[in-house]
This record gives sequence, structure tokens and C-alpha cells, in this order.
Amino acid sequence: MSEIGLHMYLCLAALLFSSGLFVVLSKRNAVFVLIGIELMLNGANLVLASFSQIDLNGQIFAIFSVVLTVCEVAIALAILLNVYKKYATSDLDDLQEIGNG
Amino acid sequence: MSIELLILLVLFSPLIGGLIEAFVRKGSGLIPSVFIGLSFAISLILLFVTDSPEFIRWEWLNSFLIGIQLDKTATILLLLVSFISLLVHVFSMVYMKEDPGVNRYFLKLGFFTFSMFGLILSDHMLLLFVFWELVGLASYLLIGFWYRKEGVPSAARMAFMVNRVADIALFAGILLLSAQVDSIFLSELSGQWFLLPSLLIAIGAFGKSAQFPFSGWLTKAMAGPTPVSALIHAATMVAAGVYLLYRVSPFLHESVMTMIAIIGAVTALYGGISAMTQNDLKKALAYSTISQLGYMVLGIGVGSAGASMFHLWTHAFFKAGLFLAAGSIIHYFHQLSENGGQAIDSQDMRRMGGLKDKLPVTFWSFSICGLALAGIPFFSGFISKEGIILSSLVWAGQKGTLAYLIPDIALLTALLTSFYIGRMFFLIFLGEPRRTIKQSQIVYSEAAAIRIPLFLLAAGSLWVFYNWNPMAHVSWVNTYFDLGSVPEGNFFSAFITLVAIFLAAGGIVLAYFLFKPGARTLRTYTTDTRSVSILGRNVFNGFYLTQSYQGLGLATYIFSKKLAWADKKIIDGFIHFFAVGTVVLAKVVDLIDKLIVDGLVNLSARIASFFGRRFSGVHSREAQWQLIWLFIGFVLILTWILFF
Repeated sequence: MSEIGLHMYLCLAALLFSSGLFVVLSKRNAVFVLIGIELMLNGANLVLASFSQIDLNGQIFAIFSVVLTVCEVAIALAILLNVYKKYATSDLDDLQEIGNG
Repeated sequence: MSIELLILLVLFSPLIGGLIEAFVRKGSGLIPSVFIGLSFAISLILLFVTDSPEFIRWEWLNSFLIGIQLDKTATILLLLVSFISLLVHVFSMVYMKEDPGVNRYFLKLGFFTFSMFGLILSDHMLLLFVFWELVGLASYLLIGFWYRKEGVPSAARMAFMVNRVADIALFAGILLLSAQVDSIFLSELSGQWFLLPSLLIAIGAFGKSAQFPFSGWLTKAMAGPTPVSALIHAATMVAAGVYLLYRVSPFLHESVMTMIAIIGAVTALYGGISAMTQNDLKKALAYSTISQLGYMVLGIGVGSAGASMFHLWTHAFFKAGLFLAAGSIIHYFHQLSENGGQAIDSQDMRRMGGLKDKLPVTFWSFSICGLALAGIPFFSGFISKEGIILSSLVWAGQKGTLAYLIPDIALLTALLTSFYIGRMFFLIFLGEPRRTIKQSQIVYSEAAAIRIPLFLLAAGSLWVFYNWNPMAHVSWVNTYFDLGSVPEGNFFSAFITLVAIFLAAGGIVLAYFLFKPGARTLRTYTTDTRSVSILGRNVFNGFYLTQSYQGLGLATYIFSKKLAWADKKIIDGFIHFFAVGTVVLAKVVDLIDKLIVDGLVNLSARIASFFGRRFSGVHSREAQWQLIWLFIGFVLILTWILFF
């Protein structure tokens, strides 16, 4: 089995990042935007992991990143749940008010 | 009474008489005759009391004087005009008695006489021009007196229009002259005038005096009543041109004087030739007048204006006599046709004849006046015509060989003159009455108002009143015309006088052989109704002069129509094209304005707006758009860092 080249991993990571970015920019629903953000983070994680062929420090950084992502998703979903409770919508375009209302 | 008052009385009394006749007391012409008699009497007084010229001047415009004068020439002409006019008035009392417009007639006659008096008395060229026009107007009114008759209005119009053409020349001449000389008072004329004013003034005089290119109107003027013709031909209308030429002749340009002599000779010959074949009594006399006027103008052209004015004087008597005799004949025929005879063409000489016994006074006065016209010794016409012929001979002697044509033509015309007047005489008075006269057996005698004028005019055509010597060529009348003297006679002139007498007598003898009662030519002539040859037709119609005026008028009309067409089609078309072009150009400019100028402005606005819109998205309220811009900005910065 021949070894898969570094650039293949990087291309996949770019694909993931771009897909995430597209989802973030195009979807109205806040949940989808959160999922897009997750995709972009995973793209970045993949880049960190793929560079472990050269240097192992990347793998360690990727694990830290995954942990941080978990925390972030937990908080963001909690916020979203509260927002939905308050405004009865999760559409980003409708959420334009700023303040403690 | 002062002389000024007398002058004004002479001037205005014919007009006053006519006005009274027309509006106040509608009589049969007695009052106008009395008033014109008053003019005549005062003229006679003035002739004796006037030693030096009298002037009346007044301010017409601010510091612009016009005026009238009474010098020797004016007094004698006043006398002539008032005398002829008086006789015509008296004659008209009978001639026009039955005409419904008789009051109108006398008013016009008075107006005519007034205008002629004014013309003679005028001292200023402009005032003279005013009266000149008034004379033309009065003649128009009188020629068109029977305006309901066919052909009369057009005849009057032609006389008027031909005169207008010449009058324009006269007016232009006066204006040009006033630019050249200091004063255009007739009594203060001076210097040698330039060619153009001389020529124009001479043309004006030609028009009034029916000289060659303008002769046609005079024969057309025969449409008026016959006494009016007598007045026009003897003393008023046609005399005006000769009178003007007399006044200005010392100052005219030399070549114009030569031209005047040539035109006069041509006119004399033209009138004489055309008079020979006329059937109409009055037309023959009209051509005769043209011929005699040619003599007068010729005399002025050769520098002896005094002789011409003397001929004008004697001609006034015998031509007025001839015309009044013609009027008497026409009146006689009218009486015939009213008293049971059939309607007659009362002016056709071919149907006359044998009037000697019917109209004895007319016969005798016609004979005497005719002999005077023919230039037979012992009659006035001989004396005055000799003056002109001798003057032209002396003039030709100074000028050279070719100039002898002028006296030659004058002598030839003398032959023609005696021939045509002899022919008229034999046709009208001798022989047996032809056609209609036989059928009517009424008694007719000439009225006193016809007899007396005829008698006076015939008497005035005898030699004794002018010079005791019947073979002379000057008279006391000449002393009243001091411009242009008549040369003295010598052996050569005596010879020429003999030739002239021979020619005059020869003309009458020739006429006698051709037209004596029972002559063969007379028979064929009176039965044949038309001239045969082209030449004959030409002569009979006066060389188609009036027709050529009409042709000229028609040509002008057609030309103006063509011009109008061209105006409409070409000039209007061009203007139209121009207008359309302007509109199209304006539209194009408008389009350019809208598309290019406005377009540029709009384009820059649109560009600004486009970029503005694009960048306004940066500050969009939508979070995702902000993210997109953020991303684009990030990519741009990244690109900048990586590749530049």
C-alpha cells in the first residue's frame, strides 16, 4: 500500500473548510451555521493532524482543538436554545436586535 | 386787384364752375362755360398787364419752398388753353346735351382745364409734377367717360398706364436733377445737366406728348367724347410734354437733344404713315396729332423751341377745329340715327361723303383747318411748320451730312400730311352721300354752339392773325417764347419753302386723284373692308403699337407668374429645406446632448452608484453579508501578501 501524499490531506482539509464556509455564509438557520463552523474547525484540525507526518506537535495541538470545540459547541447550543426560546426563531436574519430586551 | 389774386382766379375758376355744375345747380353746362370765360377774360388782361414775371412762393414743408410763376410764356399759354377750353365747353353744351352724365362731364372738363392751368403756372418741378399727374388723371377720367361702353375702360386704362410708365421716368429725372442742381424752380434752372436726368425728363415728356414708343395711347384715347379729344389734342394733355421740353431744353444734355430730334422725326413719320390708311375719322385725326407732335419735338431737338411752341399754338387752333368739325359730323350722324335712320357707325369715313351741303359751316371750317394742317400758304400751319423745317435745316447744316435726314423726314411728312388730310376731306365732304344718308330725309342744321366755335377756330387758322406776310416763318407769338430762336431766312431757305409748298400741294393733288368723286380707287376702297398686304395691315394698326404694349404687359405678367412659381418652388423650397435641416440638426444635437453629454454624466453617476452599492454591502445589517465581505477582504489581503 503506497503512502498517501501530504497534499491529498491538505486538499481534503481545504474542501472541508470551504464547505463549512459555504454553509456558514449561505444557510439562514443558526443551527446550520453552527454545523458549518464545526466543519471549518474540523478542516483546520485535519491540517494539524496531517502535518504529523513531519512533526508530531501538530497532533497534540489537534487534540487541544477538539476539546475546545466541544466546549464551544456546548455553550453555543445552549445560547441558541435560549435564543429560540425567547424569539421563537433560529433564523439569523430575524435576529437583529441588540440589547438585553 | 393784385396780380396774385388774378392768377389764382384764373387757376381755380374752371374747377369752381365744374363743382357748381356738378353739385349745386345742375344746368346744361352754362355755368362752367361762364367760369371758363372768366378765366379767358382774365388771361387776356394778364397778357397786357404782365411785363415782368410774377412769382408766388410759399413754404410747403419746413424751409422748402414751392411756387407758381406767371411769365410771358405762361400768359400766352394760359390764353391759348382757356380759349380752346372755352370753345370746347360751348361746343359740349350741344354735343353732350342728351347725355345723362352731363354734369359729371363738365366737372371733369373743368378739372382737366384747372390741372392744365396749374401745370403751366407751376414754377417748381415738384409742383409741375403734381399737376402733370392731375392732367393724366383728368384725361383718364374723360377718356373713360362712357365707361359702360365696351372697350372704353380698357382704352382709358391703357392711356393712363402708358402715361404712368413715362411719369415714373419723369419723377426719377426730377429727383436726380434735384441732386445735381441747387434749385429746381423752373425760373432758376441753370447749368448743363447730366445725361441721366436729361434722358429721364425727356422720356417723361415723350409719354405725355405721345412720342414714338408711347404713341399708342393717343389713338386709344379716341374712346372719349369728341370735344374732349379736341381739348386733349389741342391744348392740354399732349401740349404738356412739349411745354416741359420747351422749359428744360436749354439745359438738356447735348446727346439727349439729338435723341429728341430723332424721336420727333420718327414720330412725325410714323403718325403720317399710319394716318393715311385709317377709316375711322377720329383715329385719322389722332395719328395726325401724333405726327404734328413729332414736328414740335423735332423742333425742340434741333434747338428752336420757340418755333415748336408757335407750332403748338397754331396746331391748337386748327386741330381743335378739325376735332370739333369731326364732333359736328358725329353729332349729325347721331341725330340721324335717333330720328328714324338706322344705327350707323358714325365715325367710319367710308360711309360718309357728300356732307358739303348738309353741314356747310363744318365743311368750311374743316377745309380751312385742313389747309392749315397741310401747310398751304395763307394759313397758320404753313408759317409755324416752315419755322420748324428751316430750323432743322440750319441745325443739320451745323451737324453734318447724316443729320440732313431729319429735315428730309420733316419734308416727307409734310407730303404725307397734306395727302391724308386731303383724303379725309374728299372722303367726307365731296361726292354723293353713300349709303345711309340717302334714306333719311330729315332737316338738320348746325346749332349756334357748334357754329361759333368752329368759326372762331377756322378764323384762328388764317395767316393774318400771326403775320401780315403769308410767306413768313415767324410771328408775334414767337416773342412770347424766348428760349430757342428761329433762324433768319435766306436764299436757300426760300428754296426749301418752295419745295415744302410744292410737296403740300402735291399731297392734296394726289389725294384728289385717288379719292375724287367717281375715282376707281375710291370705289374699291369704300367697298373693300380690309387692307390686303401685311404692310397695309401694319400701317392700318399703327404698327401694332398698342398691341405690343399689351404683349409687353402680358409678357411681364407671365414673367411674374414664372417668378412667383420660382419663388414658391425654389425659394420657398430652399427655405423649407433649410427649416427642415435646422430641425433635423436640432434633433441630432438633442440626441448628442442626451446620449453623450447626459450619458457621460449619468455614466459617472452610475459608476459611482454601482461602487457605492457594492461597498454599502460591507455595512450590511445581515451578518452573513458581513462575513462574505470579511472573507473577500481576507482573501484579498492574503493574495496581496502572497503574490506581491
